[in-house]
Amino acid sequence: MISPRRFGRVLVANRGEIAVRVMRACRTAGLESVAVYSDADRDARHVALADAAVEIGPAPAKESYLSIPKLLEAAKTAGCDAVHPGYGFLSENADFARAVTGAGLVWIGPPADAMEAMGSKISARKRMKAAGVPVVPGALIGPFEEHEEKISFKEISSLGFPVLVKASAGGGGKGMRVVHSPSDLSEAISSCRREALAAFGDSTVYVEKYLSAPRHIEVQILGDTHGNVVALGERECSLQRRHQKVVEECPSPAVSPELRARLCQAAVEAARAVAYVSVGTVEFLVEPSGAFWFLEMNTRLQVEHPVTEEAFSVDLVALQLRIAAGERLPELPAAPAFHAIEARVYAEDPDAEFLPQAGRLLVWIEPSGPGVRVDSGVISGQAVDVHYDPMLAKIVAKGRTREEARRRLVVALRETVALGVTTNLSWLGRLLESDPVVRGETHTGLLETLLLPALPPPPDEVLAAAASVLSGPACAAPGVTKSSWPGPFDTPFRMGNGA
Amino acid sequence: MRLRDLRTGEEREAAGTDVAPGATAIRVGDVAWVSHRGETYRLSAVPRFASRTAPRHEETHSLQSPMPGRVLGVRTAAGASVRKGDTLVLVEAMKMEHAVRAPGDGTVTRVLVAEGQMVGLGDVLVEMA
Repeated sequence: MISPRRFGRVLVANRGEIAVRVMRACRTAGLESVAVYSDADRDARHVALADAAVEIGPAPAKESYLSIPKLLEAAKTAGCDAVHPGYGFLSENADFARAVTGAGLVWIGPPADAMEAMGSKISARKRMKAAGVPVVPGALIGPFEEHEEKISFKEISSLGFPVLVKASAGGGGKGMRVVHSPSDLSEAISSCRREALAAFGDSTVYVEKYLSAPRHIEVQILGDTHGNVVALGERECSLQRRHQKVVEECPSPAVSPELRARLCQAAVEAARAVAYVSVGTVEFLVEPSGAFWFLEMNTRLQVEHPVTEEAFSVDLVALQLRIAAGERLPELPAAPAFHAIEARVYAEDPDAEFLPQAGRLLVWIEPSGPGVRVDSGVISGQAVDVHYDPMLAKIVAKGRTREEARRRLVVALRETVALGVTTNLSWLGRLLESDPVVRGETHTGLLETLLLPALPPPPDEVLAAAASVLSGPACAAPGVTKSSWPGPFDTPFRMGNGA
Repeated sequence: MRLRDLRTGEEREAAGTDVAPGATAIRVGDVAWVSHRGETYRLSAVPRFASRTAPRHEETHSLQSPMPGRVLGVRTAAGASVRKGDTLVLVEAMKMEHAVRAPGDGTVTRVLVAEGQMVGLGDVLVEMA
């Protein structure tokens, strides 16, 4: 239980599955939670699961989930005494952290100074270089904040193409682009800046040399307000498309005990260098030789935190709440007892460059079973809106071995049903059955070249089912509407299931 | 009923209209969504005697929005000469940008969208010849 003297009512400044996840931890700890929601999220799951909910504005994130004044006003209105930012949105925004503490509320996250030092990729890399932690070779930091004329194209070109253009303020691959030739650089930088501004409210970008086949391996860090910093193992996150992670696991099949010790030590040093408190993640690129480079530190809870939780049998959000309440870190397991793998279910079309999809998720059935965990933010009938991240759910499986976890995850993915919006479910299942993934031989460029077996054509049963529903009335207009879903019994809805 | 698999574009004839045990199907607009044995299918009916749309001008291209979203920018205008690969329209959804590019050299004949406008999947953005 969290000491009630410190805080008792938490504003969860986020939406979707992570808002649901944080609310679960709050309730388990005996804390109340308050949801915020935009116009588009009136019927969302995180609103239904909170103890109270406050509307904060129209659908575009800039006017709702990214509005510091509206969030502070909501906290005040609802009588909150603490704020949890989740991931994404304002979770790595030091101004928000300062505004929260300035308003007399507890910030459930790292100190603003540490966020500033490490949250910005540019200053983090400077700091790591100074501390002797290797950074990605050929990295170039450009003063892009103000005017594009200041960009030194010559310097970038001297790195050799391809280069990677990234948003400085946040992770998740938002805005990230690989640029293969100098002529594409200007447009890539401009659009990266616009995406960074829309997603994080900060248009700073930087350019670095693009490595072609490294693994992405990250270390989970926890620090308390008493000066203790520990590393809780690594996560393998090499499977990425559009520079966003899709499958993560703990532990990494490619990390030896010796390499693990070196990675964890470097991560702890990075966290200590900024007096880090709360949960955080230090990301590395690791070459087959075992050489590694600091990539960035995410000063927040990570999307893929459940694989660490399942492998180590810990609750990272509960620990985050206890750290914010001023408690000391408890004794944590030295090694994972299980292997865990996560697959991110996205509303996107793997057949069309993984473009985001929107619409109404009319049928959503989640998997279950031994060792299966689902962190989702959606329910059947919910609109999947174009304004937000298209991730619908994270499906996590654990096992005593990697192979047991992988098989359980494949079964769970095939058990999941999503109708009404195109998702990557089938693609994820085929990916987890592919040779390189079965063998654990992955790198960050793998998905650009990996060919998965094609789906078989629809069998006769499927054609018959389709013919059956197509000869009946439609159940809902496609596309995104703001009206609430009336339910299958109030509308000309036709659904065949068995019979 | 003749059906088109919307993933592959392949057409096949449905033998019956019974929903088999184990299949879950719904209809949204003109599309049937079917979940069966761990896979999801999207199918639509092919009209039996479809009147073929009037033949278009030779080599006319309608460039469609690849996803539902917002038009971030229009980089061309009616009458403009464009080269293959030129960015004509930028569409943004879920904080991701997608550039709609010219499929070949040619002239833009119509621009049907404006900056800031919301568009649906498949909406025509630009026509060129």
